[in-house]
Amino acid sequence: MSVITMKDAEFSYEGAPVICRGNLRIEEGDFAVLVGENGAGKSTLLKLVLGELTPSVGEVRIFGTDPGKVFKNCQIGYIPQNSIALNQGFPATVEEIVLTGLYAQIGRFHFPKAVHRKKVAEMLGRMGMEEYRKCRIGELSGGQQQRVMLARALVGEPSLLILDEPTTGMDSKSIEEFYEILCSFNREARLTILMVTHGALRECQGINRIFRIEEGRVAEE
Amino acid sequence: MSVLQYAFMQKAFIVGILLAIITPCIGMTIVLKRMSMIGDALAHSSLAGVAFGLLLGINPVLGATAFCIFAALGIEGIRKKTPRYSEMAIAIVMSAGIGLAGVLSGFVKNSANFNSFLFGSIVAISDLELWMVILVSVLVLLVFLLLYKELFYVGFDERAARISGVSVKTVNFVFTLLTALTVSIASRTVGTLIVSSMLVVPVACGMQIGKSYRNTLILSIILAVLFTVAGLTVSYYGKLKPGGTIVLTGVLVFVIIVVFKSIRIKYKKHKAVQ
Repeated sequence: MSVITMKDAEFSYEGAPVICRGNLRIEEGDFAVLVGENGAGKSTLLKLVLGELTPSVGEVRIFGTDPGKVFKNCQIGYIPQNSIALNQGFPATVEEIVLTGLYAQIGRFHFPKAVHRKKVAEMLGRMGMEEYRKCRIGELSGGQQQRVMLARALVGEPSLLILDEPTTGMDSKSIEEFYEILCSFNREARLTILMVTHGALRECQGINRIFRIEEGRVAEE
Repeated sequence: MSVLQYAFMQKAFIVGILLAIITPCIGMTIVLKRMSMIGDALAHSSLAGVAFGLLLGINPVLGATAFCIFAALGIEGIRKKTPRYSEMAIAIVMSAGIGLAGVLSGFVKNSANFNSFLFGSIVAISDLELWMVILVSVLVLLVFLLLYKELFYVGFDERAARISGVSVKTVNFVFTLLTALTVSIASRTVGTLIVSSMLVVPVACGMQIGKSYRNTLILSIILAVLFTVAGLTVSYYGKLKPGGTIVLTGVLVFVIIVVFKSIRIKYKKHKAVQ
């Protein structure tokens, strides 16, 4: 079954078309990248995939169902653009932030238990960040912060990971390390990845599909 | 302690401490969602409710609560319509609240009663108001604890929270109601002009020294209780307005923390260079 399917989707902002007959099919285990210039429609396309916008024509499906229903089952890990930069002063430790990735497993009205903290510690260990567990998020470098966000997105063992411009503001060494982690999860856990970026892709060896969006039209390269 | 020999002061301490416990719980999420001015907007709307209550001859606190809830839902509604400029919603509701309070106050015969809501009258709390504060405090604390995880997540990243399965709309709606209840009840005691500071100042202090979210919240509550106890005691002996004294105590402590912290950072940098 396809993980993401977008079929003839169209979307307009105040009459101006942003996505024109958008077609996208991402299969299980793909490491797909969506590239395009600023204003090409990347963010709108992502909002359609994330169920924040509904296409005026056509349809979007994740795991064969409506995006909104998938979120309730927590099958998606998501790394938003600039989320750390916007929350530099946020008074939370690395552990507290990664624990939010286990929301569905902890359950509504419940507090995290030892088993959840153990999972967080293990995931941070895989990111090489275990020693920073009790640090405040704002005290870390940009690259370290993004690895924390990756740990948060992956700790719930999702089937699909969506990343929105994840390497913005990171130095080249951190980008390389970040892509290495992504590739290992894609290879070893067959994690399906959709990454939106306008950056260079040379550092990332594991990408198997590249989609380009230009003036609202999506084409595979 | 002679300050506690009078029943009105005992009541003032009970009410003040209860509010000091719940206001940082609400204030924490308000600050983290970058909506620090919402307290002001709701407090001014509650003032319109006070005038409305006095005009109709009903308990002004009930009028304030009703107007506050209406204003809070209005802010949420406008925020959804203009997500990029969400702070505009606060300004619009605040303007409406001030305007309405101004117009309605012109018809209120007992202006002294109306004016007492501006700076509050924590030492003139009736038994009914005391019970209302106790009830609202228990309710706010209970719901806050139940939604602790959700409020943390929504405060950090609303979009990611929704994708993780958090019912963001419900959480925001419940939180809006809690904020309205807290502000309306606090307006009576510390005053509409000061309630916003009660929500924000202890959290601002806590954020300067807290190591984690939990730690920051606990510190904010402890500091708010200390500001209240110190403010009430100083105001009693110094014959000052209690609401203003409580808030000024908090602001003074905030300035001290910020100055101390910047000196410490400079010292550390200087030491690292050496």
